[in-house]
Amino acid sequence: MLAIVRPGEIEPSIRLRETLHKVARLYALESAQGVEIHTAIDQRCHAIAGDLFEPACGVHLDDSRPWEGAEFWHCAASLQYQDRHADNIYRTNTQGTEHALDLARRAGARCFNYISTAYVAGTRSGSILEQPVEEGHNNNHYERSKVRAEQMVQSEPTMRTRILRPSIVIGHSKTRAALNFNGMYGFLRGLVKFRGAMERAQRSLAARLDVRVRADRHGTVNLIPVDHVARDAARLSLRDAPDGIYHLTTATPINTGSTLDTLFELAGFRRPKLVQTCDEFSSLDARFHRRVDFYTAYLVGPKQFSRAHTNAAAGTDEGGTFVLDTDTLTDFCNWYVERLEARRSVLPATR
Amino acid sequence: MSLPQRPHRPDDGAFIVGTGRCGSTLLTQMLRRHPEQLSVSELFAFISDLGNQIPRCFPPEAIDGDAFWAIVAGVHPRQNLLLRHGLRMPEVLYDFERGRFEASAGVPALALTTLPHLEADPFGSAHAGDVDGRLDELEAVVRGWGRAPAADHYRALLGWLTRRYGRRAWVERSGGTLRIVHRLIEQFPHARFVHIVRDGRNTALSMSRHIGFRMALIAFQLVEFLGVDPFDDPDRSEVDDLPDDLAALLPEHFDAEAFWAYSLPPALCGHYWSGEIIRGLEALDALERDRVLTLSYERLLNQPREQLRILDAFLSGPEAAEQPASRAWIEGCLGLIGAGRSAWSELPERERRELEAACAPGFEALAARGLRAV
Repeated sequence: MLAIVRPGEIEPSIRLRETLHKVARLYALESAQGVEIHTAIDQRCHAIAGDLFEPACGVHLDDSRPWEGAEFWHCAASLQYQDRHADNIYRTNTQGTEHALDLARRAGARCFNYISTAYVAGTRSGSILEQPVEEGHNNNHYERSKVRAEQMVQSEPTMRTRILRPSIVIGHSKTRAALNFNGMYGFLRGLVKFRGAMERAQRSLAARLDVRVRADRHGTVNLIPVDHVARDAARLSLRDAPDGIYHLTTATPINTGSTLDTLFELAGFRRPKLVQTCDEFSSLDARFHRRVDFYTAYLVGPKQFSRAHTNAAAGTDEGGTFVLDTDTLTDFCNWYVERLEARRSVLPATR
Repeated sequence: MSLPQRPHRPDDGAFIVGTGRCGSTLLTQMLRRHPEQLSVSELFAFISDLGNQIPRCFPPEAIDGDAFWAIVAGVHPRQNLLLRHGLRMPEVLYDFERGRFEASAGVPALALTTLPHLEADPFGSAHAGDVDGRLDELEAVVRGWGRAPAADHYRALLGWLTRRYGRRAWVERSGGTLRIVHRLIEQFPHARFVHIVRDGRNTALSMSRHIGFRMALIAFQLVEFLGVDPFDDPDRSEVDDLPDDLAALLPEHFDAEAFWAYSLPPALCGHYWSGEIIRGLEALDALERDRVLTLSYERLLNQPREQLRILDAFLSGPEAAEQPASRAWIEGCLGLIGAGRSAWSELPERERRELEAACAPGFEALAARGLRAV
């Protein structure tokens, strides 16, 4: 396995392996194809320096088509979303995909797997099929950049292409550990930080505030553990799934209302009041929304993601059967909140 | 050189505390005309960099004169960032035309208000005194002081100023010192406290428009969302958690337009006011009754003679307050009284309701102690 890693002070292979060893520990992985996991990482995983910002990712290929027949996985993305990052978002997600396609093509890859997001669905609601989407229904730059990248991948003439659309990826289903803290963790972190900001204004204010959130109480939030996403993606590859779009989602998503109740309580707030419009917002509600605006797009316009293509190509619907109840959700969140609060315990005092 | 001996009555001083935007500046201006009291203004506000570096002002270990000078005469980042961008609080009295310090390079905390306030003619002549000279004179004195707890240095500093300006006792007043009243009580175990209270709704409205409070509340939010103090720490690993409006206020790309565009709703300031009142009263509750005087700003405006007599009796003693000099002082202060400017009742109904709800806990805490803020 060859990974493209941005150049840095530490040699790319060392950085890659350090990250993989860390992940193996976080996810309590023991072996890969019968080989002890840390040995497998050292023996099978290699890195070359490259950068999505450069044409062909800045990788200079000495031989023609050195990766003939390989599968190319493009998982790198910017998960930024604020307006001030717009240029960087498109440069990474859209132009970066163009560069990755270019590299895969030159290297002779057989198949290009592009990790997109189920939320390219944007403002659409109801049943979301594994079909191409057009721009114009997006909530933010991130979604728009992913739509454009998907369109680029779909029009690739020389390689098989799979567009894999995970929903909101959370930690490992067994250990609850996570490596990246976007999506649900970003929302939770926003809540914890908002609580801190409120409590710098007044001690215990968060516990007394009734925060309104625009969300469908009876809608659902599609949270999927990282190992389920990885297993689905690997199955598609191993079964040589055809060109197409595949949802890597759960078929039984958790209820939005109970999810928000859980997250708010864990962050030290009362359960939120869910409203349909922003008209009822107080100035503090509006302030809260500005802090977590990106994530609230997940809370309205209930979506049911079809897994028809994925199940058919993977030969099983096992990947979609992950059920998340509120106790399990609490476990996932606690794993993160404990680490977050430990880090925040050293914030400077202002009293 | 060791610290000067404590005077016979070492903690004879007093603090005027409040939430900020509560009328304490008016009191400090009045006290500047007092024949016996040295009116010390904004010492703790500026040395704590608008309330953002409070622990640094009260180090737990003994410090020497150089370290104390770095606290009181440091060029602190927040207040000077504001000045560099033309955002000058009315409390800043330093004369940039006559003085040697420039906003672009920064002004020592003591020189922003405390020394100009002492140097200026209390009756308003144009002569602003020699702030830079006084700062140099003070530096030579303070740097020579040996190791001592920070509180002893403060006492020595305030005592030196009291003697230098020919007064009998000092009264320190900084905007928003209710926030640190627990520390002041601990560090100055014999000091007395004047707590000035203003209608929280008008106070909050005034805070939401005041440069210093806006900066303080913005800085609190930056710390929370960035996970570090951006003025002290270059770590920006959590910068993506900052919404656009806060990111625009990081010191590296701060500008005045973004500062004023930042929404600071009066209700948030109302919550802040309530919180400060509740915690401040809890701290003041621990004091003997004769060490605390609560004044109402509104009553000061409406019944100034009576309220100033009460204040002077508290600070100078009942007998001194009956002396002709004291009466003359009161009469001389009357011209400083104007009408309170903020008018919360003119806010749109929804904002008004939200502000009232935010201030309700503060009013309840006052009422529970038989105090009124209106």
